[in-house]
Amino acid sequence: MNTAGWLLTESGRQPWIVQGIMLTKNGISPTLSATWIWISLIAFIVLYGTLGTVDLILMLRYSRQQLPSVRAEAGADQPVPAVLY
Amino acid sequence: MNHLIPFWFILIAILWTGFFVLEGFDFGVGMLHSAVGRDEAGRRAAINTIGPLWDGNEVWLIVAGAAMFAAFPGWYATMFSAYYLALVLVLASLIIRGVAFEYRGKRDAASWRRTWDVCLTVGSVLAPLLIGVALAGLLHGLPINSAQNYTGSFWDLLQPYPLFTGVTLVLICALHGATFLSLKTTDDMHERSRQLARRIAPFTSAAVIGFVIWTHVTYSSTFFLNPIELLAILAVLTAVWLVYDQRDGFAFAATTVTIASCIVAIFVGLYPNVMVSSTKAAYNLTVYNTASGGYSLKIMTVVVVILLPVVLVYQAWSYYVFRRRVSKQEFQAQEPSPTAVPAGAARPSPDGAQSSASDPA
Repeated sequence: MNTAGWLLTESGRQPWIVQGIMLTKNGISPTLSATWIWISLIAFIVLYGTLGTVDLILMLRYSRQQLPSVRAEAGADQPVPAVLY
Repeated sequence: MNHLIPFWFILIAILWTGFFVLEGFDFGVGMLHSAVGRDEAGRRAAINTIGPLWDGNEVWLIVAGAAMFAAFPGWYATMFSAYYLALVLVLASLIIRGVAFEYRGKRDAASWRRTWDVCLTVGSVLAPLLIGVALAGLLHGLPINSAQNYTGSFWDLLQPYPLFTGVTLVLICALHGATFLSLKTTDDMHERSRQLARRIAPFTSAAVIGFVIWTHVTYSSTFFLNPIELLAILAVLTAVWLVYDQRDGFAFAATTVTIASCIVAIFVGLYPNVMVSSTKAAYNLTVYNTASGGYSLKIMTVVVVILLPVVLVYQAWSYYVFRRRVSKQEFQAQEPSPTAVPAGAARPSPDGAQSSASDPA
């Protein structure tokens, strides 16, 4: 949904990049070659594609796991270390 | 002449300095985590010394970029277009690094963790290297024409001085990270952090001295170094001495001053230019020919004066909360890996609170 919202605002605003003030075609960097844009676009697609796939696999694995039985509150009164990763 | 223009230049210099002071040590920890933590528990302990801090540190980079965008749109436009591919690489290295923190504990397999350890190390080396090349390029000069457009190619960015600056920053970050780890770890990891710091320190000091002299001759024809450049040399030599003297706290303070003064030296050398044109000095981008209008600067100044102290206070508070040393035993004690347990099941409360805070917005 989030992404759809972005797509809607970005495409709905065209041809403006800033509504009523600047056209998208006037906002393009004059020195940026199409090759650079392609390189970055492909790099981001590959990167996000890979990370997205890994994320999906992880979520599927986790969703298929059985929930552990409720463990006894062992050491609940001990201070909890600030473990994040 | 608008006095807010120099104010915003100084503020941007401070933001970049703050970024390197803070993110510098977590880049260093990223580079060294496998060397300091010889086993899984050790590596996790090393990563967790920066666990609650690294993402807050990284926001300084975003704020620095945003401040340039808002206060000096001309600078931002030329710099970010010129560095386009380099910045894509910076983003890629920051992404693989950030994801490594989140993913490496999500599966209990050695090869999986190894992969993310490599991503963390590579990202932590590449990011300061590339950002160093970028910042030094501003001072060194890039082919820029009269319309403030970059006219070179990607390879024109890779000049000797910027590359040397990048390498210097990597070495400073490594030492900064090692002194940070000496402060934050225990037992054998503490010993190894000190040992690593001793090994890195001579290289860092040689690089910093070279960097300072090279920076000085890049923009100045005077013989004597300015105070900030002298401070950088003094700080790095003090850091070497303190590292060998095994005074962890002061050594970390010295590496902090070293990295801060090196970044400030670049900006001091730059002012009033923001990007030097190697084509013709008349085409230099300066604070005056790239700044926003007076009204924008005024509004931004009000916002930043109110909000920056708030941000500083809560960031300082998070450092205070997580001031404790992290020991390996905490990670050996936990059976399997706590993150292999599905979320929500008997997880310690700080975990839940922090993972929501670490969600990228």
